[in-house]
Amino acid sequence: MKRESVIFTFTGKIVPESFVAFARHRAARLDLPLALLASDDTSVAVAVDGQVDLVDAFDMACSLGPHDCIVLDVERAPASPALFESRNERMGQ
Amino acid sequence: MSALTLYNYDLDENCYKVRLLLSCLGVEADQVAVDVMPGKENLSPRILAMSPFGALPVVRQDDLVLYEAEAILAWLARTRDPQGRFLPEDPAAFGRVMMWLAFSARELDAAVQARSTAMLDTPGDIDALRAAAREALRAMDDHMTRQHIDGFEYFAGAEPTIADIALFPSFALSRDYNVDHDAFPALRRWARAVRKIDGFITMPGIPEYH
Amino acid sequence: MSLKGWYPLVLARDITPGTSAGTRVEGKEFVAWRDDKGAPHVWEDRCPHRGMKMSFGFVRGDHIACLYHGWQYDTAGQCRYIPAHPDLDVPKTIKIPTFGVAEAGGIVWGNFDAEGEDAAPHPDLPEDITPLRTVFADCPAALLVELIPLTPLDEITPAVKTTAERVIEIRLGDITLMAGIQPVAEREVALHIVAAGSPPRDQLKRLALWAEQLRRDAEEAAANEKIAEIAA
Repeated sequence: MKRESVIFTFTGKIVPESFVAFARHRAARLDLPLALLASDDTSVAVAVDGQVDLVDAFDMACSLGPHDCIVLDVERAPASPALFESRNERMGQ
Repeated sequence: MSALTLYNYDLDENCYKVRLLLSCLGVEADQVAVDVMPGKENLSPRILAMSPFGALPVVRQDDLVLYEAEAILAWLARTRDPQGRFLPEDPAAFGRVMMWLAFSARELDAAVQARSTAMLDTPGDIDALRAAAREALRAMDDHMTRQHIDGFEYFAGAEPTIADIALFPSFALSRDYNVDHDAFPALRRWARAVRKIDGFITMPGIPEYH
Repeated sequence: MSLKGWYPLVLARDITPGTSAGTRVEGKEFVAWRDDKGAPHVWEDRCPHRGMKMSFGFVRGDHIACLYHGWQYDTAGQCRYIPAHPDLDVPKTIKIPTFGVAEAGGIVWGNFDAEGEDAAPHPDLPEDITPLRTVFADCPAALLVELIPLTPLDEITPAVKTTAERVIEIRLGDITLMAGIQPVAEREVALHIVAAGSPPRDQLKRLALWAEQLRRDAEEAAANEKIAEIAA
């Protein structure tokens, strides 16, 4: 299956620690490497890399957010492959 | 032979008994869909004229109108089963089949009501109905355990009869009223044997697999 | 509560190749299934996708599939195929917890100990047996065992002896039964009964009827005990 690297920006009413922990948990469940790019009480930006369907599943899972956050909008943008390159080399991909 | 009309509701397990036997006998019927939910069409004058409490299934052939699934099964077996497979002539076997038909209409009716209460919010004491349904399934499992000791795979003997057709739906759909199959190993084996009957079909809620 | 040692879960006869059965131990849900090669497996009874019971699913060869969306798992509990995403290389994280399993004395046993590798061996049981049936009763396990001598087989009073952890021998005249005791939940038990040797059919049927009466007696006693507790 095709792979992609994507930066997700989730905006809304965010409790940063809660959302970041939630996103990390969901990424781990899907076995997707995650890089945290930015977080504050209105938005969190993360990058993930992996098979297209798993990245979509991550999008869906995080759009529902943890109980103390409300996600009002999600934006996707292509991430630079360099973000995950060395990790992918280590994983032999 | 004249055309047969079946007044049917797809989610009704009593209608399924008749649809299942029709399929096993290779008999065609004109199916008239009755809008039970939400339409309550089974309580319309047209249906009440044929079945006084609006119970389905109803079959009609010419001037003959029958309701009560068990009676319909027996009539179909008598008139459409030339080899007499599904309703044996032998008096003892016949007696056994009739006993289980009566069981399906009486003891096992708690399961039909439990399912209706659970799924369609029909008024009823769900806990009492569920408990009674479970006792009926236990009696069935006890019987099949002993049938298996005797080397029989079906309720009335070595071959399937309308007893199996009548008893199958409420066991197969038991999860609808929150009773799992875990405690009924003999019925699990029997259900696999029922699925092997030539012409076997499912209904919504009964998986196709196996 | 942690589950130690081996628990009887189902009569070996009652899961044939390609079939599965749900079961509970101290209220926790497990699925016992048998692949097409005849090997038994004991897993947590939950698909990681939507929590559907795997015991509702179906066995295809050496995979078991969830009934809900058809997610397929291999004998190691690893998800291998998701029908909605046929080209997906399913991540290794999607896995069902699996447990120790053994087959002895006509019964399938499960071991849920975290330190599985050093688990004590499963019960050493005779293999020259004929399965009888499982008695599922709404009755605490200990109470059921106490009541066995109070349910006679015709004129015979059963004699009960514990022969291993969760294993009893029941003597009824010249008939010997062996039974595995499964504590299903606080007030529920499953007693998996086999007969020594190959008793004739009519004797097996008598024993089956006896087991049905045992269930009735046990549930009546348990209900009375409950009423007594409430009254006290």
